[in-house]
Amino acid sequence: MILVLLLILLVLLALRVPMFVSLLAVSIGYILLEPTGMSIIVQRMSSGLESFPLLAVPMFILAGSIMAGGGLAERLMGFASVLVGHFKGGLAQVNVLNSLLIGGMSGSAQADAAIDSKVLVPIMRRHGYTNAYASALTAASSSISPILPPSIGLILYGVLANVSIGDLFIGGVLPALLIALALTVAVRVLAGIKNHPQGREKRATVKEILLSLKGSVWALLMPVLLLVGLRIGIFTPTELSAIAVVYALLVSMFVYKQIGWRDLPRVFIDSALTTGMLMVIIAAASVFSIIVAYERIPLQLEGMLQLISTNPLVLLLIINVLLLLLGAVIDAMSLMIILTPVLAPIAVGMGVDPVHFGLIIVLNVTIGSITPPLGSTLYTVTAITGVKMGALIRAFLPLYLTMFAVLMVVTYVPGIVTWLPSVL
Amino acid sequence: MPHTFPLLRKHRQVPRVLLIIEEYIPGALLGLTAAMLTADVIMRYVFNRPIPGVAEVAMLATVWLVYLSASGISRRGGHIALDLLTNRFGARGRAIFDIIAEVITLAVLGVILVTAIEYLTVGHFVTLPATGLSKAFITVAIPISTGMMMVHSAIFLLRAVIGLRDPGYRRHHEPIETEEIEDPETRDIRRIDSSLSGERGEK
Repeated sequence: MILVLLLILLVLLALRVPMFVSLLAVSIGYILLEPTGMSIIVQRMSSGLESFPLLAVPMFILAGSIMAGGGLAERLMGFASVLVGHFKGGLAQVNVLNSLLIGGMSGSAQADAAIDSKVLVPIMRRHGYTNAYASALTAASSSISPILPPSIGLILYGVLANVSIGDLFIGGVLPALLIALALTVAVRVLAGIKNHPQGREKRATVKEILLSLKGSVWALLMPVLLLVGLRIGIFTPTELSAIAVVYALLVSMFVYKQIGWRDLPRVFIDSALTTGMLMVIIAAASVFSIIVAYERIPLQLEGMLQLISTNPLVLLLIINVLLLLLGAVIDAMSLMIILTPVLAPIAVGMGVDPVHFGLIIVLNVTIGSITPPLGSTLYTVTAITGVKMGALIRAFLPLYLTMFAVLMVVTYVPGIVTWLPSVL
Repeated sequence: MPHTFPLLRKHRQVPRVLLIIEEYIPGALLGLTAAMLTADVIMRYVFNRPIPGVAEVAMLATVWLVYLSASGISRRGGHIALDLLTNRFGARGRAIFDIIAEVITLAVLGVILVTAIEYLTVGHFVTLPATGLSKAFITVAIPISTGMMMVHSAIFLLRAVIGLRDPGYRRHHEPIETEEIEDPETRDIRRIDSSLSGERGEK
């Protein structure tokens, strides 16, 4: 039954039916076959959004929009450039470091990918990089944002699996740094092979670095403040998200002075629309989760997995492959909402730390979303840069292998996730 | 040449009332939610007096903002969907895919609309503890949003049907961000490029 429903879901998605409609269509079909009242659909569409921790999602979207709208993306690019631009393949290094810096305020791979595709990819092309490589790197480096706080994916996992969002945020720091480090090494090796140029002719002076740091320090402080606020334990993530909005407003309006009172309505409207686009999928996926519950999919899946192996290491590998495959065709958030209630109990039953498993899930669906040819973040990049899919796949392969290696390290070395929450 | 029926024009003027309902009100609700949560944090931690009912009102506002803006996203043709397959086809093929997608969308939203109206008519709703509001006040956002999305979907359907004979047919999509840097030769790109290269940028 569930396989038929998943097949129908994939067909609907291929027909370009919106994600939330596809999820609702399959749910309606299932409920029509079951002796259950249809009103449960409406109840779920409402109750799926009535969660106090979920309020952090629109707040962090708003904070990110305010910061990005205040010319901050450009400042962060400049800061990344003075730090790593002089290396061989300097602009590619800037792309990676910029994603790490932007990730600390956006929390969404799509937002980061869009900024880099619009600004950095054309600049990289001017300096001799192929469109395919610049686009592939932009997609790969955008995967840092959903791992670094404030990550919308981690908030969702925390809500669904009842795990501390604070621990998830802190647990995401080292994996995000690991992705950045791994991509930096990959970019350096590729720069040697393909003879990519330096971004800057000479290394920036200490004065230049300090000047650039001064220009972007307020943006860089945002993730630090979030982590400190959470770790002190006074604020909940939702309260902190509201503080992040105020912080972003103060910095953009009164420090950088790049947003005025007149710009605020547009920023609020854009953020509200982005929130609607994302959270209507959360509501639809809550309806879809009825199928998960009624079909007792966690139990079925656990039984199937144990038939294959009882070794947790093997089971984690199977879960990784499953998530990567599904993540390549289904939107990351929808997949998390559908699968977290299924997989989290199984993982905890196998002895996996729930915070560790949260990072595994988010990293998997994020890599899925940049997997050719259907990944949603990858699609954002191709839509903006106009790169041909065949060339993109060839350029993406070494970066994808790098991301896969990071996933394996995060999966099988739990300390990378659990160490920081345990000591802070 | 613009279509004779204003709603079917590619660049139709959006009625102001729709902009208010689908964009201005959600934007205001988002601002209100942020303001309430911040005020509550200040009252709680500075004055030790939390504002009662803030969480409830914030959740209520969020549900409304999500459904109203979801309708705005429908009007802009911006809901997340995979068009990698459909983009491989020509104008006529794309129009056919759009017709199928819109018919499915209309059917699904129609079921939701009817179900929501029935549920609101016969259902018994709990009262929210802090504000004393009926939960029906939250649920009613769903049929309103669904109804408006159906109107947008019907317009897209008509456009796609007409598009079957239009060799330049493309699905309407209006991005959320108003400022786009699309042309690699724009001044912004040149200026940022100069700045990244360590040269003096254009002012």
